[in-house]
Amino acid sequence: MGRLRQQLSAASCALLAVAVAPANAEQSGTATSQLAKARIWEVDTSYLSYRESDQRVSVGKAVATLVRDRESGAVTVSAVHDTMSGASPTGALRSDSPASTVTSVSGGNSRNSLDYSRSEFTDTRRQLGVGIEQELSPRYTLSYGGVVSDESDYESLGINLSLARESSDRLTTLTAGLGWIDDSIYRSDTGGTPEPLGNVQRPRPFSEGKRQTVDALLGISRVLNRLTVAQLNVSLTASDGYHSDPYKVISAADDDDRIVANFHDSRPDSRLRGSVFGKLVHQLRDTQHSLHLSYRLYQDDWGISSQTADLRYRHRLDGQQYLEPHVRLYRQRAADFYQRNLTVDEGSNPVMPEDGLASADYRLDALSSVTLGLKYGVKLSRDAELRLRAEYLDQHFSTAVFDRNSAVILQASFSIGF
Amino acid sequence: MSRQNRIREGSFRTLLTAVALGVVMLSLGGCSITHDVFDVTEVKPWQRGALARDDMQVINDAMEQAIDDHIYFSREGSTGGVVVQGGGCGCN
Repeated sequence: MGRLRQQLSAASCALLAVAVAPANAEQSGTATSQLAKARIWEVDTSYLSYRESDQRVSVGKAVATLVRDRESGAVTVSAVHDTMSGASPTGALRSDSPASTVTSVSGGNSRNSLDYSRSEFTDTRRQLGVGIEQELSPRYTLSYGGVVSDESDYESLGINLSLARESSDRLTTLTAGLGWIDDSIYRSDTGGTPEPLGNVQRPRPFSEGKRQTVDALLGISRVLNRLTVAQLNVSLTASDGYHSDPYKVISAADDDDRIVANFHDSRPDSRLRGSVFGKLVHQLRDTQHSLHLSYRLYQDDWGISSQTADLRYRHRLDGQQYLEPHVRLYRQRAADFYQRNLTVDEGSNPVMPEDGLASADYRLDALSSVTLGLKYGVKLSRDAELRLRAEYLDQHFSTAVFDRNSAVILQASFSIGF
Repeated sequence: MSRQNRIREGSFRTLLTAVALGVVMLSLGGCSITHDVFDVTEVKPWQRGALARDDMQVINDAMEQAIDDHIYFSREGSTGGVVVQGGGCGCN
């Protein structure tokens, strides 16, 4: 934790240096650069409230982004502060029996309750990021950046690099990107991770979990006509290390859901993910109304495959205001090792999986999800804009203990340029 | 699969079909969207006025995109595909 705080401080200093350096360079610039000095700052701030029903998870998210736009590129600095609280499903079956014990999720307190299927928690997450976009030549743009994130049980450091090449007619853009993420995962109470598939009543703490992720993306965007842009991305993500959730558990229970024991989550130590993403952006003829339609096909080697369709329609009310309805549809197949619970044999002994992998995390279950939303945007002046958004998320799970999750998302954003 | 889950599966398919039908109806309803979308023509620099607008960019609200990616990353089993990924989280 202390190490990451130092990294955060160092990153803050680096960001300030990056933001200041171009300004100094400009002061000593030539007449040409003085002419090209279209210096624009933009500040984008936002507050989001995410609230799940049944007093599950609530998140308050504050985001601030500062962009400095120049002829030769842009520098973006962003900060995120999340406060999270509520009762998160642990994966354990619902029970009135005190036989099982589940310790609480991140930053939480143990609760004297007979039902261990949910656990209360509070946590705070801070994230700091910088992105630099640099025009290498009229046709080549290099983008690179980094993100650090810190919470009571998770530290993450990510860097990314991408190169975009425009065709000579400027109608086609090819993009190649690479990202690398280093994550440290541990329980906030022990500082370590539990033994995978270890009995929660006989804890054997392991050291903190480490995970490295490499993300590669190839994309092409093409202007099809004067009203339409199409985009196609292919991405591959490989991760290695600790992938289990140190707070999730899985119950071993008989046919009547009587819990015999609870075991810690156990997932593979690697994951390979691939996706194809396509998007169309189109302005309706003779109007200024626009459509954003996207589709993603995803597959990984855990057995999860998913499809996501997303449609946004921006309806301009006048020159200053717009309304944007949004619908998102998602469905996924369950991970191969997902189980609602472990079974027991005739002697009431838990039947453990032969490959040592089992998780009852509802997010790895087969699920379908629908989001409906509406956004309103208004230009308050030439350079200031207010955006308000309300969305409703509804998820249905195939076999998870809590077979439904719904959430209301409210967001207010204000941006100003100067 | 339980009866309840079959009903949900059916509801989801109905919604998907309704959206697909909506797109087809729009296409046939005089808007000719599909024709306009897939009518590939050369675009001269002076014809790109609409394409230069903020709302016509493939990512037109980077902050919202990042926030949504984070929400769905923490509530679904799959993620990624739009941009190179940033930092992770221990989302409960």
